[in-house]
Amino acid sequence: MGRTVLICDDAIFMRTMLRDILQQAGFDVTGEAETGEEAVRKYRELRPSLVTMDIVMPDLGGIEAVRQIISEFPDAKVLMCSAMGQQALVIEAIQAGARDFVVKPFQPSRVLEAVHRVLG
Amino acid sequence: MDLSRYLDLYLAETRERLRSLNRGLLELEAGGAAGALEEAFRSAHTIKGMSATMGFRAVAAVAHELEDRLEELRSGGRQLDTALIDALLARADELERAVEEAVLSAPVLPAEPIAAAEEAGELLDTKLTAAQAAEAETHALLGTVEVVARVVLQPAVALKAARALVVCRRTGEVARVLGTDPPEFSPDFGGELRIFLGRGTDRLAVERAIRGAGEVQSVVFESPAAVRKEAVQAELATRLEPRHVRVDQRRLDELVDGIGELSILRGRLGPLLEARRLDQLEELVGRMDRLVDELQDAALALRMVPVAEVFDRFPRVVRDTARGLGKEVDFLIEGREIELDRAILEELADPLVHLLRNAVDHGLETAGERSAAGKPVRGRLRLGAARERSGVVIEVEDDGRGVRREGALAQGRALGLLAAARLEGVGAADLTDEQLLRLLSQPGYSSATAVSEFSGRGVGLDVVMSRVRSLGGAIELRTSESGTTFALRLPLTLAVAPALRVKVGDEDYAIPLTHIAEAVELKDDMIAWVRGQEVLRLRDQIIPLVRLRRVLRVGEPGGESAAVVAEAGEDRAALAVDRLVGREEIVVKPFDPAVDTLPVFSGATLLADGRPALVLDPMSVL
Repeated sequence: MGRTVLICDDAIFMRTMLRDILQQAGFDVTGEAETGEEAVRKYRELRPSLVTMDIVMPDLGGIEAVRQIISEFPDAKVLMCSAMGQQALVIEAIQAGARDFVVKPFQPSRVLEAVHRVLG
Repeated sequence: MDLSRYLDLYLAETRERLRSLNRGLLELEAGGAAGALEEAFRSAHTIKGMSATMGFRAVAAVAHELEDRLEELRSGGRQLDTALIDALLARADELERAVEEAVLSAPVLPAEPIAAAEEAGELLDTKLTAAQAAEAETHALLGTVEVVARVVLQPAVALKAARALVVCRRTGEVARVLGTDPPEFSPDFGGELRIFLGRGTDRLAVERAIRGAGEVQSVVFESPAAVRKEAVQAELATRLEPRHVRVDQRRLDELVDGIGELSILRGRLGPLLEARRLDQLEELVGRMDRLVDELQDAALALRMVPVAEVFDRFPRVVRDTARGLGKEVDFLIEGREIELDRAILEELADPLVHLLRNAVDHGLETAGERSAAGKPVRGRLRLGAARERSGVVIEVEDDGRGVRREGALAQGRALGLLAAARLEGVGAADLTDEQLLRLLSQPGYSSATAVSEFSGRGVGLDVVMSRVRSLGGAIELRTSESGTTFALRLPLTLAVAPALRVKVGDEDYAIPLTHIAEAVELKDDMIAWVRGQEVLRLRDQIIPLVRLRRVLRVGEPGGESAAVVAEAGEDRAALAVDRLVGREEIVVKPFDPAVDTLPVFSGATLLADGRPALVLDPMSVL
C-alpha cells in the first residue's frame, strides 16, 4: 500500500507515458483524469497516495484543482507535471499545495526522483 | 526509454489537437466566444508538451511560438484582426507539416518492420543505426507492395496529369493500387510515375490496362526493393493514419459484461438439456437471443465515430477556397455528433471536400452577383448529417445560383457525353434533377472552361458517385435558381446490412435493402412486352423485368410469384423471384469468386438459420 497514483493530464499520450514510467517503477496507477474537475472527483473517490497534475486542462486548470484537493485533504501529495515552466506558475502551484514540480519534456529518472521525494 | 512505442499515439493525438486548433482559430475569426481562444491555446500547448517529450524539437518550437502569440491575445496584449488570423493559420499549417516530417523521419523502429524484415530472411543487427532503421521501415511498407509498375508517358503527350490519372484508374480496375509516386499529379507533372501494387497482381493484365490508356511509352515492372526511399515516404505519408481506435470505456464495459452474462447462460444449457426441461430451455434461448442482439449492437458501436472527426477539417477547406476566389461564405456544420462506421467516414472525406469546393467555386456567386440578384452578400454553405431510417444522410447545400441546365446540356454535347448519359433529344426544360446528376457524373464531364485552382482537380463528380455507390449509398441532386443540394444517403455500417431474403430455384439469396424500392406480388396481367423487352406495369410505371432464374441459370423462367423493384437514381429494374422469404439483417463477407462465378454477387452471408447464401448486387443487373 501507499504506492497508488492518480494521473491528471488532458493528453492521452502524456497519461500513457506517465503510466508506463510509474508502473515500471512498481507503482499502482489506480486512476486517470483529463480535466481539473475530474481530478478533484477522482481524488475523493480513490484517495491515492500521489497525484501527478498537469496545469493546462479544460474546465478547471491544474492549479485550481490542487487548491480544491488540498482544501479538502490537506495531506494530499501532488506533483505538478507540466510544460508550463514559468517561475510564477511554479510558485503559484507550490502555494496551492503542490509538493514538487517537473517540467515537460521530462526524463523518466527525473519523474521518479521527484515522486520518491514527494512520497518521502 | 523507447519512444517508438508512443509514435502512433503521438500522431493520432497530435492530429486531433491540430483539428481543435484550426477549429478554435476559425471560431475566433468568426467572432466566437472566449472558449475558442482557450481551445486554440490549449491545443498548441498540448502539442508542444507532447512533441518535446518525443524529442521533436522543431515541432515543439513551432508550437511554442504559436502558443506565445495566442498568449498575447489571451492577455489582451494584442488585438485580433484578419491579418493575425491568417498568420496564426499559416503557423498551424507549418505545425502540421512539422509534425508529419518529424514522424516520418523519426529514427525509431516500430514493431512490425522487424518482423517483416526477418520474414524476408534478413538478419537485422539488434543495434540498428538510424539509416538501417529507416530502411527497415521502408521494408515494412514494401512488405505489402508486391510489385511496382514504372510508367513513362510519350514525351509529346498533352495533359500529362490527366493521362496519368487515367492510367491509375485503369490499373485500379485490374489490380490493387496501394499508392503512386508522385501521390498526386500536378499540372507540371513530368510524365513518369510509379504505381505500387499489392499482392496477387497480374502483370500482364496491368500492362494491358496501362497501355490501353493510350500515349504510353513504356511500362516496366520493378521489385519493391529497387524503389527509392523518397517514393515510399510519400506513400507512407498517406498511409500513416494510425489504426488505433478510441473507444469509450463504457462501450467496452457493455461488451465485456454482455459476454460474461452469455457465458453464464451457456453454463445452464447443458444441465437443462440433460434434464430435458424444454420449457426452461425455451426461456433460456429467448434470453440468449436478446443478449446476442445487444452484443452485436455493442460490437458495432465500437466501429462508430462521430462525423465531426472528418467534418472538423472542412471549415478550413471552405475558408481557404472562398478566400482564394474572393468570395464571402458562411459555413455551417450540423449534426457533428451523428455517428457513422469509421471505414465509411474515411472514404467520404475526399468526395465531401470535392462537393464543398465545387459549391464555393461553381455554386455560390460573387458578392456583386449576389447583391444584383437580391440575395444576401455572404453566401451560405451548409454541411449537415442526420439519421434517416436505417442509415445516415449527409447534405451539402448552398444558396447559390444552381446548376444551369442549358449550359450543362451544351457542355455535355460538346464533350460527346449525351449518349452515355442517355439524354439524347432531352431538352433543358424537361431535364430532371436525376438526369442532370447523371450527366454531371459522367467520367470526363467538367463545367469549368478553365480549371480554377480550387476545384476541377482531383476527384470529379464521377468519382464521388462511384465512391458513394461502392459504400452501398446513393446520391441525390436538387437544384434551382435559389440553390443546390447534394444528398448522400449512406448505410450506418459496412458490417451489417438489412437485406431481403428471396428464393430463386432451390437456393436462397440475399438482396441488400439499400437499393430496393419495393417488393410486389407478381401477377400475369402486370407483365407486358415493350419493344422486345419484358416489362412490369406497376401503377403508372413501366419497369424492365429481369427474371433472376435466367440470370442465375437456375431453371426455366415463368411462374415466379414476386418481383423486387431495385433502383439507383433513375435506373430501375424489377427482379422476378420465385418467392419472398422475408427481411433479415445480414453480415456481408467479401468472397473470392471462382473464375466462372456470375458477376452479379457482391459477397456471401450466413442466413439466420445457419445456411449460406450469396448476396445479389442489384446494381449489376441495372
